[in-house]
Amino acid sequence: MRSWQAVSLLLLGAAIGCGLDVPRRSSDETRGYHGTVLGTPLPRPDFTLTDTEGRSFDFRAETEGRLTLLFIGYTHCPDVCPVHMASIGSVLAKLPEVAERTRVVFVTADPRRDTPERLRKWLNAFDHRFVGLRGSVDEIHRIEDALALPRSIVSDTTSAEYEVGHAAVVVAFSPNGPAHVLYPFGTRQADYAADLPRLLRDTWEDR
Amino acid sequence: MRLDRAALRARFGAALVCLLGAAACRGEAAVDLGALVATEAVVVAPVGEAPAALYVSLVNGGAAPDTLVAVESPAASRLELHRSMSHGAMMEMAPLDHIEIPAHGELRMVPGGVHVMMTALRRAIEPGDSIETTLVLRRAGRLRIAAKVVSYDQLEVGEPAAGERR
Repeated sequence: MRSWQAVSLLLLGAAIGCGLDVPRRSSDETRGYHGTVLGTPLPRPDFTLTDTEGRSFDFRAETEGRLTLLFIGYTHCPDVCPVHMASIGSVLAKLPEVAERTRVVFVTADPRRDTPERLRKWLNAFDHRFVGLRGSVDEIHRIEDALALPRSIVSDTTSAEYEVGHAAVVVAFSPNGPAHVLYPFGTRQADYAADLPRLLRDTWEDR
Repeated sequence: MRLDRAALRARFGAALVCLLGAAACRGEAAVDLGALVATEAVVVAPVGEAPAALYVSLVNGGAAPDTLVAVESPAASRLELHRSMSHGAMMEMAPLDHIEIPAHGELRMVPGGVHVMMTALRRAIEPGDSIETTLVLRRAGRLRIAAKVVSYDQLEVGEPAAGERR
């Protein structure tokens, strides 16, 4: 690369980096969190699905009092789902005291291909404590509706490698109940490492 | 290419690296084919039976656009170009026939953007491996690269050269 090209690339990068970047929210709105702080908290949804051991899992009862990270995805996902799970798994491995008080719940949007065995094996690659849940497409849509997330879409299932569209956010439910923060795709390990201990402490009483 | 924040940060980071030293862009990882330079080739080791993903950046220093039409590798039977797109909070993925690399521009593959999905793997792909890959370009022809295999937790998003310089 010639130097003028490097310079023009740099200028392009700078222009894009500075000009089009999403404006930072004020510190009042973010409260110092690296995720997206919700103006209206999302109540903890009430649903029961089946875990990878075949047991029924009552989401509210099983996660009560714990910081709970909920994600809806699928194991054939090439990057969004494994990157979120790997980032959270890596951060929890470094913060055992946080991990003890946190539950990570992965709901598959692709119950047809994500058998309990496949889901368990995939989650174990990130953290064996991660809960994997399966349900019918209708049940998953009800959870998505309750969380104001777009409904997942399974594309043409006649092809061997069909795709699944799904929300790319991790929903973080505070130990005392509702979710106040979402983590979009692009959340870094450093962001989770900074926010998870804070989410465990924050009572949100001022809201 | 979709301009998400991670991509923007990655792009800005790469531009900086290029400015600070052309050697950084012409290091072992970079393959130069005339006007076209491939850099930062990374394969993410698959989890269980999931697909593997390849990310590479192509910088076109020439005055003519080029088009990436296929990707081949002895490590997998199927390599497909995909683009993940977000519509609001929704993330969807669509196959692509080809991708253009504009004149004096670049194609930067990043998690959540353009990637090559590798399925029907012919061998185990483990972190630390090197995967031989051929990028087939309409003008530049066949560009052979070696992609370093990393794990998903090393594929840190939103940082310059995701997964490459760690």
